[in-house]
Amino acid sequence: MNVERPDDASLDDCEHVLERVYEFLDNELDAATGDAIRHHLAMCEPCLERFDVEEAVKSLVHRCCGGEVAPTRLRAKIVSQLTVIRKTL
Amino acid sequence: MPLFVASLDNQSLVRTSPLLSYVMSIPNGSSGAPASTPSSDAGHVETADERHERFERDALQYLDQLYAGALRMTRNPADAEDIVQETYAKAYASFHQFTPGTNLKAWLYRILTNTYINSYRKKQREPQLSDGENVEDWQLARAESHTSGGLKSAEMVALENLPDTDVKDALQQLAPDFRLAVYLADVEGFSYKEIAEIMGTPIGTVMSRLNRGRTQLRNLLADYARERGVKRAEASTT
Repeated sequence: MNVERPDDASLDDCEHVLERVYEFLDNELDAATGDAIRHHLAMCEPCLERFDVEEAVKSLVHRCCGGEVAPTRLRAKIVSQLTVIRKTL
Repeated sequence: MPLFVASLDNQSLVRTSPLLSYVMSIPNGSSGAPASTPSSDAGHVETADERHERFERDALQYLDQLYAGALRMTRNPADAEDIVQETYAKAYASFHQFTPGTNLKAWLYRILTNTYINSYRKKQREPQLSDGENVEDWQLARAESHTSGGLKSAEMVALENLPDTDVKDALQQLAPDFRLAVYLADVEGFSYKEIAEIMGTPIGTVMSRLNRGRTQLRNLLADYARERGVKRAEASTT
């Protein structure tokens, strides 16, 4: 399936704002585009609600999905492995 | 399409170890502490001892993070340990090809990703959500637009208070490429450019994986939040 992307989208358009919501959230947009999206979110309750959910999901993943500590034996295994490899280099 | 493009210089062509194909150059990004330089003295050639020490000092500091990343990839501790150990072996053997001053954590992550794809992922067939490859991103955005928009305020509270186990569980259900892209962006805070280099794909592919992965994740988490919200409401009325 190959569908042309509509070219009539502007930043005032909810659809277009929501399409870029992740780039906005990830700080990947230039300042002007970011400002345009911020402006739209301030005016558009449904888009703001969507943004709030996306932001909550991103911070949940950040908070819940990392932070494990490697087992001590793994560090020991790696350190001794490096010494072995070094002799072969 | 091969996920991994090797770039060999003349020096490494002389040495034929497959380990030496792990070459990449990631520009210094915001994530990761700056790696120390081999020597402040321009005329000094680093000795094997010095390189060994530099590797232990600079690369091993990321062990916990790589292990957590490996856990997200493999979904079990024994396999995570194996690929992290293999990653450090490969990184050590090709450390002379790492450009000091560039992003060491991203370089290690790329080796980890390749190790996972090459030596582990091929073996396993795990059930996972469809990646919906033949749907265009803007169509997803349109279908999503206000219909599944915000959550009711009670659901939003439930979402923000979901236990770690629910969130990990939801992330684990995503297809591996989506899961890794989301992990690298949200937990490690890598930029799209860095994720593209780690995963060996164009930036557009990274964005697409993030879009799709997060859309699936949001729907899973919203379901969990609704279930928990309903349970909470029931508990308060009885």
